[in-house]
Amino acid sequence: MKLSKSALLQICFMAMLFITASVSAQKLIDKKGKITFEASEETFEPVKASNSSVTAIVNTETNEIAALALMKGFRFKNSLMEEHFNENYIESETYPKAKFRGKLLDFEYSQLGNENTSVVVEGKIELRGKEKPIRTTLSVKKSNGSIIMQGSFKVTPADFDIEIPSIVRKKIANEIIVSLDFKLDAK
Amino acid sequence: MKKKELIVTGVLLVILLSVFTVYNYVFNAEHRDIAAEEAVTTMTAKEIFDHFKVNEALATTTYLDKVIELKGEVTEIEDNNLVLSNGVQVSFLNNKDSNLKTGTQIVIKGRCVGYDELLELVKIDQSTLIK
Repeated sequence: MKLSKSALLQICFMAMLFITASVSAQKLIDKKGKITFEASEETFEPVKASNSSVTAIVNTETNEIAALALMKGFRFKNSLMEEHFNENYIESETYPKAKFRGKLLDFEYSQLGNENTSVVVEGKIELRGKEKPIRTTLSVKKSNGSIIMQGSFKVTPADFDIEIPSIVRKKIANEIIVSLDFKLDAK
Repeated sequence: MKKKELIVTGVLLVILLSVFTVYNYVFNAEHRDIAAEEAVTTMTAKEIFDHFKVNEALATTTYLDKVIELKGEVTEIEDNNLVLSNGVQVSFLNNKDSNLKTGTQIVIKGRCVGYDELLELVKIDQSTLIK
């Protein structure tokens, strides 16, 4: 079989298109992202924990974002609080992780510079078999070749069917502030 | 009479002290010292990864929150984290040994925090280098 010149050219063009597409379909990954949540009430002991091995992945072509935090990875200052969090509230043996899936709206990875840019993210958190829609604004910027993504949002224990016993209700804020700090690298 | 008062005060003090000790023990208990705990099991990084890959629920009940000793090849290093045999992410309790290089075989001990299906990695925290 002999290929005509134009067919050959067409194949070359298709191949080039394919290569460009696969190069731009980049993934930004953070394996040790940080998530902190705080549900402290004034005058009581702070209710706060951080997890610094959170996974976050952004697909720069589709702007899809996914994050995953293992519940056992949240560390409290007070060990009893950590135990109660895992055993009574989150039940981390049964529900070992929290997942987020969403989309960065109007985000143009190629346009991202060294100054903080506001990017709206919309998606769902899944925890304890419940889903909660989240919409918040993140600050995103480039820094030394990495992408820094920071932001916060609020959830309540009721969003995930977590019951707080009345004896400790005063010590745990009704609104829990969750903040995130990701440093993503192109992979 | 004086003696009786002294005994009562002494008893009260002892009660007070034990109440305080118990309270302190329960409410301000120290965190687990993973580095000092003995590993419940020893295996290769590949083995634990396969357990999670094949049956995540079963592996979670077996290994979650357990201290495990793992052997594997360092396939990636990033700050205070490294990846063993492309399947286990290890984060160290203290600063990791700066001499660690990819391609070397090491043994670590740490706590299993679960499986991350996004990156397909078993995660281990509070690790110490054994060998």
